[in-house]
Amino acid sequence: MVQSDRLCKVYRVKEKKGLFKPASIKEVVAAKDLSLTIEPGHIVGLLGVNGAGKTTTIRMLAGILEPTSGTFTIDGIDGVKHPREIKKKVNVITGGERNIYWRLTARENLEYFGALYGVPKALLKERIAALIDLVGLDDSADVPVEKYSKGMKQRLQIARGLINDPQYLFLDEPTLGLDIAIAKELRAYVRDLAKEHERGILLTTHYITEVEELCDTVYLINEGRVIKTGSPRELIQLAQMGVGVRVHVDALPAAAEGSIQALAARYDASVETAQDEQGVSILIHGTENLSTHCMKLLTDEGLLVKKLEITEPKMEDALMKLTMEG
Amino acid sequence: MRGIWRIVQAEILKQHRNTFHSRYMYFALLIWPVVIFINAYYDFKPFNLSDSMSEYFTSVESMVTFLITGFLAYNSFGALVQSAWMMSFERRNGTLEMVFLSPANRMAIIYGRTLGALFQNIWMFLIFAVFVTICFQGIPLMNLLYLPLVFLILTLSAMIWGGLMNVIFMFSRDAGILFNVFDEPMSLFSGVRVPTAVFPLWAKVISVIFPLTHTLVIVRSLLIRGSLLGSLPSIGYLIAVCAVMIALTRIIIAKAEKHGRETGNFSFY
Repeated sequence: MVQSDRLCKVYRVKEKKGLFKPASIKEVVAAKDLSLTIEPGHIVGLLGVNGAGKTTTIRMLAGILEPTSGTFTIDGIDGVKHPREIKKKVNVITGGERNIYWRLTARENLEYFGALYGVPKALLKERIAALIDLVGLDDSADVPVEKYSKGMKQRLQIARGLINDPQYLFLDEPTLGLDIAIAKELRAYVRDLAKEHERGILLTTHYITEVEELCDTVYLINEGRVIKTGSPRELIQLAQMGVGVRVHVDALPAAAEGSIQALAARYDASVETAQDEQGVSILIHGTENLSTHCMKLLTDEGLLVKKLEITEPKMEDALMKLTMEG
Repeated sequence: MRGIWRIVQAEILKQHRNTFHSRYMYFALLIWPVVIFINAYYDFKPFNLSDSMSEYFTSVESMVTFLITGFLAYNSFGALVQSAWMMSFERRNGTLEMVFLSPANRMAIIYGRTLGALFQNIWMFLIFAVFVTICFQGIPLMNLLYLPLVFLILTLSAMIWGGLMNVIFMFSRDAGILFNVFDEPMSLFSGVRVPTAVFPLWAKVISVIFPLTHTLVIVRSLLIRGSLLGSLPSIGYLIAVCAVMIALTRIIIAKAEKHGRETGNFSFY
């Protein structure tokens, strides 16, 4: 299990004052009191706007950045004191085209990184074949990376990150630049890694669908600190985004309107009605989906529902709202 | 130990695949040093060697042997300063951070890197050196027995020197100034073209700093004089210098990694 306790990272950044003036030092807080847990078999999302501290957190947990204060352990090993030990258990997949040798082929890159992790030769050969197949680079495995498209380089990054079969995998925008099919396959693979192979996954992404589809727990961070934690569903509820139910009927008699108002009051929801040329539209907005209740009530009143629309709350909107609220 | 050797092998192979992608590179590696060698040869050729105050400049044959050993060793050491300078590209491409993300033995990575660069950079010049030596017959036949020892001393000392250079460049991306400090002065003060014995005292003091000086003394003593016993003090001195360089490499790499972890400067992003 990865467990961090009040991790902080403060960068000292030079600020230029002019050609002949000495630069001043500015302190930038990239992470503050970050405590999070990644259990084996779980996919944890780390979400936030640009500069929120997501990449800094991943780099600290991977042992390539030293926290200014705070501690973290991976399977009981102190990551601050023994960074080399935890590196045997983790790997990082970043988005983009860097971090791989462009003059080498995909296979050569994987052979090199596999050797650095001490993967036995026979196993490495098998693993490289499987990973190349997984990321769909079979036809270009022996072509220099410099000839690859952006998406192909990203796919190689994914294979590199899996070369040591890490216990904990940190994914920093892993599907950036990938086409829909490969991104979907990668999501399926990540889910499989977590659920079938008990790997702990930390994921940062800007694609909210990925979070909704994959994450068991989400840490929402802003300006380096965790502002909310919970499952995607819990975060939506926390944001009190609510569900909108809109029904269209030819006319709305006073008795039916009264029943609708009573229903809404019972569930602490709001009601808006609007008359147009087509008839009457009723919008009920509450924390719960009241569509079934509403349909039953209108049918009991002998009204014909012409159209029903349900507006589910969006994760994206919920996160934006929570971030704004701080 | 097997794990360390595997990393060294992987690093040598990567170095070859990443840097030497065209066969024209090999010709570039040969032509430039050969031109410098020929230049040095014709610098001395017009002078009357029988009046020379150095035992190495008594005949054309001995002079050629002196120069070719000097340039072979200098190319070995010089190539590693250049290879260290290439470290900045690894940092910029983000691959240095990926290497440090792994738990691999850092000293194995560094020495694998230097060995790769060494073999790649000098093998063509080595063939040229052997060819020149055979043509001029400057090395007594018996002394050729020392060739394995000479290559071992040359390879190890250059590798250890290159390791130190690599970690210094790892520490700072602005270490390019070392290229100027160690390249030409090393050629001048280490006795590549001129024996250090004829230097004034101040130059002799500077020459002691460079491990190449001691390597050259041993290589020439073994190949030209055939004196193993006479080389022993220099061998002892070189071992001491190499031990200091290994210790420095270890200390600097640990400090460079700590500094990189504190500042996040293994990568630019």
